[in-house]
Amino acid sequence: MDMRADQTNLDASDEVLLARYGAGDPAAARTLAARLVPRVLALATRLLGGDRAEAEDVAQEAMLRLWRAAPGWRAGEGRVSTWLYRVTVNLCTDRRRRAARREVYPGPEALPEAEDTAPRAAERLAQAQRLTALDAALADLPERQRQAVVLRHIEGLSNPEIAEILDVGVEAVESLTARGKRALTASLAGRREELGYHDG
Amino acid sequence: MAEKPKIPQDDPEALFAAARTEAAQPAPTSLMARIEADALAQLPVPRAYAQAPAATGFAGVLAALGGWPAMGGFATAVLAGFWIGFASPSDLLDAGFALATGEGEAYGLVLPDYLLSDPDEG
Repeated sequence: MDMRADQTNLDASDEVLLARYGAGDPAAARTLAARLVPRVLALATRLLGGDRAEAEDVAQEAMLRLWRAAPGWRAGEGRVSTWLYRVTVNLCTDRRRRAARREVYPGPEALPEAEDTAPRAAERLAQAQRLTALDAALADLPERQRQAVVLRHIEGLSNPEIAEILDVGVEAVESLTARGKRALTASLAGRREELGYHDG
Repeated sequence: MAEKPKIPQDDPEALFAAARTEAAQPAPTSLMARIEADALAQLPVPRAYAQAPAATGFAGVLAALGGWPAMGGFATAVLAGFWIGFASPSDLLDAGFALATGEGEAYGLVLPDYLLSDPDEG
């Protein structure tokens, strides 16, 4: 049966899209990229302390590895998204190690200043401040806790999937997310004192 | 020191929500363009079968010729024989197994019904 030509790529699973790309269909790659890149980019941004430029590099590299893996991808060997998340996490780990040697992390003083009082600008500013606060607190966590917290509470993945991505057991994931969230809360409370937040 | 009210920056749930909102944004078009360019550059394009059939395998050759439905029985046998001669033993086993277990889709292989029926049963 040759229904491939009739089905739209939008209805297809990630795995089918990757197989189509592997068989020479460029449109399948576009659909797959539209689905996966925002998630990979979001994950990388949080794991890299909010550095969008580095996160974009990681996203591009992760997708490049996916395109190269496509011809050899075997159906039933797991989900494309899990594979891609794992590659992204590992790329971020490598980047952080290199950056740590160069000491390039932004400190709390990277908070944006309030300049525009228009409502939408105020909301954008609040959003930016929340992300900066989150990134600073995440940076305080041990790496595995940070990864587990981001995958669980921001990407919304299940513990079994996180276990596969991080290559640990499910119980380890539960422990990492619980400890990570507690540490995050403590870090946020500590930073509030240190930064002297205003509520105006 | 005056009491400090709980503000969003204190509350992990509020910060996670902010991060999820951020994550829902589409990626920058410049990034998508670079990624799509990479996809095209890496595309397993069906090439003339004189060039690297081992890389894309039978799927590339077949796609170039219009897929199984374009094959008559004789042409199919000739092509299969040609590929069998070209392919490495592992490619042959993998593709054959995929065909037999109905997962040929991943190789771009879709068998017409007459090849799946038992000739002895008619």
